[in-house]
Amino acid sequence: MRGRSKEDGRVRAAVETYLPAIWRFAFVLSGDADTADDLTQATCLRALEKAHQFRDEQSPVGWLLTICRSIWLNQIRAEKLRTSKSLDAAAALNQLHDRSDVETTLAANRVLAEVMALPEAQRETVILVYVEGFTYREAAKILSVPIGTVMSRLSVARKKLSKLQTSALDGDKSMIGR
Amino acid sequence: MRYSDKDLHDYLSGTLDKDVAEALEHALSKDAALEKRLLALDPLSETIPEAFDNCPPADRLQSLRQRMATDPAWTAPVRVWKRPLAFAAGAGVAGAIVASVLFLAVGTGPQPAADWHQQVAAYQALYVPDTVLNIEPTSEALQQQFRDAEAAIGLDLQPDVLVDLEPLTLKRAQILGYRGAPLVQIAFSTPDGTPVAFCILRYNEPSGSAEKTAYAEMEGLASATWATDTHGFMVIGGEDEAEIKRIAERLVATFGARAQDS
Repeated sequence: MRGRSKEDGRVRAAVETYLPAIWRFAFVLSGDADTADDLTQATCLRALEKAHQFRDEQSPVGWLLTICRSIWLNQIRAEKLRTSKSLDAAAALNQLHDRSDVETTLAANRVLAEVMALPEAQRETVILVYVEGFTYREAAKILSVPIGTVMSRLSVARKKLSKLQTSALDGDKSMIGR
Repeated sequence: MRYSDKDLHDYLSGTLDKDVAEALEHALSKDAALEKRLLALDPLSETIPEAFDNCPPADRLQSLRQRMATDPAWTAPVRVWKRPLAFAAGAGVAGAIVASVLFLAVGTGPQPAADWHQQVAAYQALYVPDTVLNIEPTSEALQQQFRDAEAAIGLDLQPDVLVDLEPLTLKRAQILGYRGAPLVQIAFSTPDGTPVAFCILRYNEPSGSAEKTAYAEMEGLASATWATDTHGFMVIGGEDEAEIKRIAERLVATFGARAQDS
C-alpha cells in the first residue's frame, strides 16, 4: 500500500508540473479548448490509474503525452468526427490570447492558425519538437512512429510553414514589438 | 561526414540535394548534437514557441486546476479502477469521464495522522525547485485560490500572514484531498528555490484532542506537524530543521489557536 501511495504521489507531482504541456498537446490534437480541458483531465485520471506502470527512467512528460494521445485516438477523436466537430482553428485560437494585446494576438494567431491548419500527424509532430522540445527520437517514441517519419513530417510541415519564416522576419515581428 | 551550416539551411528550406538530404537524415537519427545544430538554425524553432506562449491561457489553466481539485476521482486515493472510459461529446465529456470511472477509495473515516503526514511527505519529496520556480500568480489569482481553499477546509487561511512568511515566497494555494477530506497545500519557495509546503487537512470528524507540535524528518525532508480538534497541520520542505522549526512556530501561533477556537 505504501508503495502504491508513492506512485500516486509521483504521478500527481508530474501532472502538476506538466499540466500546461498536456493541455497544449490536447489542444493541438483536438483544436478545441473545451475538448482540450476534457482530454487533459482524462489524461490525468488515466495517469493516476497507470501510476504503477510509470518507470523512473521514463520522461514524465513524455509518458503523460503518450497517454493523452492514446485517449485522443481511441476515445475522443472518433466521437468528435461522428458529431462532425471538425477542427475549427480560427475559433479555437480566439480563446488563447489576451484580447487587450491585439497586435501580439494578430501575430501569434497567424502562426498558430498556420500550425493548426496542418494535418494532425504533422501538427502533433511540430508541437512535440518545436514547442515541447523533444528530440526526434523522443517524439518518435511518443507518436509510435519511426524516427524517419518524424523527420519526414517535419520536412513537409516546414514547407507549408515556410511563409511564416519570411513574415516573422519582417511584418509580424515588428507588430509584436510595436 | 561534416555538414556545413549551408547544408543545414538548404535542408531546412528543402533545397538540399535529395541524396545528401537522405544521408543527413540518417546522420540526424544518430547524432543528437547535429539535431541541435539544425534546430538552432531553424527559424521556426523561435517563431512557433513564441506563438504558443500563452497556451494554455492562465485563466483556463486555473479553471482546469480548480476543476480537478474538486473532482473526487482525482482527489480521492486511487486503489482500483475497473471500468473503461466511455466518452460523450462536447461539454459533457468531463462528466462522462468521471461518471464512468469506478474508484474505490480507502474509507472515509477519521484519518490517522501518520498516514496523511506520510502521504504529504511522499508528495513533497517529488518537488524540485523547478516545480515551483515559474509559478508567479497574479494577486487576483492568489486571492481566488485562497477563497476557494478557505471554502474547502472551513478555515481562515490568513493570506496576509502567509504572504509575509519570511524567508519564504508564497507561490500557490491548491486543494487536494485525502480519504475524502479536503487538504489544502500552500506552496512556497525559499530564497535558494527549495520548495516548502504548508498543508492543512480538515478532519472528516473532530478528533477530540489537539496535538502539540512534533518535528521529524520524513522522506528526507524536515517537517513539523500539529493539530487542533478539527484540523491537522504540517509544514515540510528542505533539510534545514531549524528553519522549518522557525516557520512552524509562526504558523502554530497563527493557526493553532484559531482552528481550535472555530
